[in-house]
Amino acid sequence: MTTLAAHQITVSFGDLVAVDDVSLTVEAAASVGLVGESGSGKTTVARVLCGLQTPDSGRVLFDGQTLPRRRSVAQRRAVQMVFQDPFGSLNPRRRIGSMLTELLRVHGLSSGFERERALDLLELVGLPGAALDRYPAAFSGGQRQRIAIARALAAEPRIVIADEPVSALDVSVQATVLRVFAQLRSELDIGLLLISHNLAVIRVLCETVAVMYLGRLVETGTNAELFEDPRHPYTRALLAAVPRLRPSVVGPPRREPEHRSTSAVAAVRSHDGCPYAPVCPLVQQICRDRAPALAQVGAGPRRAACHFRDEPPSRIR
Amino acid sequence: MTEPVARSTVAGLQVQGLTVTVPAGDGRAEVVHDVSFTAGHGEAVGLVGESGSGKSMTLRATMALLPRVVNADAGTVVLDGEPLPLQGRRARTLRRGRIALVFQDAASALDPVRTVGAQIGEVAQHVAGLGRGQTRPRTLELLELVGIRDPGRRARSYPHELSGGMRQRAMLAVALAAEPAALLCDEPTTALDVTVQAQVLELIDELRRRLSLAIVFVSHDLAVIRQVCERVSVMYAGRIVETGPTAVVLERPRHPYTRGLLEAVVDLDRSRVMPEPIAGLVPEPGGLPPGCPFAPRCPLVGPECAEAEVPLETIDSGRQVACLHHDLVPAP
Repeated sequence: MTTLAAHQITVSFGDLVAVDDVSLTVEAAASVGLVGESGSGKTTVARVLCGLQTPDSGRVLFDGQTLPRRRSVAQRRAVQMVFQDPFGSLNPRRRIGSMLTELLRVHGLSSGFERERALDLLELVGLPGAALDRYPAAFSGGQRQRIAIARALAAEPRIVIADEPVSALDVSVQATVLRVFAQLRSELDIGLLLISHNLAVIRVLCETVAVMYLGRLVETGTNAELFEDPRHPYTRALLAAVPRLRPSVVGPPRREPEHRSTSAVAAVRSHDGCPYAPVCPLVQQICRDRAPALAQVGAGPRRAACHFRDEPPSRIR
Repeated sequence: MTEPVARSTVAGLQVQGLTVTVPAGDGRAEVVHDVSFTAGHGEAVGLVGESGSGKSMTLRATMALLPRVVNADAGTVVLDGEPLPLQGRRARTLRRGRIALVFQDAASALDPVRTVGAQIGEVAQHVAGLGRGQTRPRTLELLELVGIRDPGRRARSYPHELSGGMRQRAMLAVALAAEPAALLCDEPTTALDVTVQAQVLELIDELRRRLSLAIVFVSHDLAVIRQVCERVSVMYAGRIVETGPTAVVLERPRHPYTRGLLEAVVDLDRSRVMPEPIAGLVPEPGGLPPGCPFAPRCPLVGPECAEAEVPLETIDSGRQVACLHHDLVPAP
């Protein structure tokens, strides 16, 4: 079974610890969501997994084997990335067909039937064959994002990492792109790591979810566990902050105690206590003294980095 | 003190029959067509739509801040009963201090080389007409009003020293220093993290109540509009296709486009239902089909939809819909 795993990854930029001891696994045909606000380190995790960023410590493993700093062509092919901006990530002067056929050659997948393969790729993402002879400018945002997915698929990857893939798209086309991602899993057995600040996108697409805060994982679990019974106060604050389309369904807005923004406190982060303690509405003395490890909730396997992870929120305080 | 002369019965901001055009080929194409809405004092109304729907152009025309090649060809903007010219220098002078605009990118709205306090003070002094002695206390008061802690210190900060949420608050303070009657908001929280967005939305709501502001709030995000606005107008291809109380429109949409948007949006509360895309693409300005502009993408389309322009029609309590088949739109 294909697995891509980050093992105890740490990345620093100068004094800033962007990623602090993060471990994460993506399996074939599985979908993992990585949630966090700006500055949480989620994009840096993605770049490490793709080999675009070398970690200060920790390893990236593929099928149990540590990937070297310089990956082989086959290793690079196996993990592909889709970015947020479908306008900036396509060369405006290359026709779609020429871009895809060249990619096939670069990946060492020349067969003499590159054009046919390019047609297959477009079909996979729901675009007509006529797209081959057009330039990126001829396409809408949603279509370009599907082209970007086709480009990633040209490498025949086992794992696709998508960083905010629908954030720049209009509502009416987001759904189309989300469907393509769902299909990658179900039809091609591709493992998906979806990175987003949009909790609803993660909710609809991912089986397991990891929440990052200031470079650390603060909670991991299944979709239902995270969204229906969050155990870290930061996860709860995130969920409570999402504007709701049907407040009548949810009931009156859940008033979580005030949570201050990440950026406002990044500077005052202490090295000893819980990184969330300075803004946590439930903070106790132990939180300032000792950082909680990402540890099992109950019998597991879900985990949370909170001293009070086993207590339902109503009992805390 | 004498009573002001009432020039109209409508208090607040009223836009009627606004039409905006851009150059297209040899002629001009409409990007906003016959748009009308009213925001009373203390009321927030939303304009929601996707890119190209004309919502931002509507806001900029209301503010008389259209780019040079864009024209407001028809319509009236009335503030507290006084009609304001649509464009030109006089149009901007007459809006100064009375209608304020905040937008998504606070970093570019604020002057990077001047302190936040100086920028608020300048507006308080030159637009609101405060004396020198009153400017500093007013600056601190405004910073406090927008929820910035330690206003004395923050007044001396430069915009780059503030976080995204703080910059958005500072931009609101600059806008409010003019003591406007109406506040126009163009996607003011779109670039913010969700926890910061929640705080800024709450602040805007509080300012609306405390200052009785007439607010026009433009967003692509239906849930944000739901939270902030009592009434909403849904825009498509430069037109309002459905308008009414926000809860009514979003819970029981009667225009197929509104319903389509609601089915397409990823919703935290529809746990794992895969959203449905809307078939087809938004038409280009100048390339609108005859009749209803949504007809080519509409699941309820009939031959009659292409025959003539479909006007907004009142169907129930304050709700208007521009659809011949509004009674066939299924519940979401």
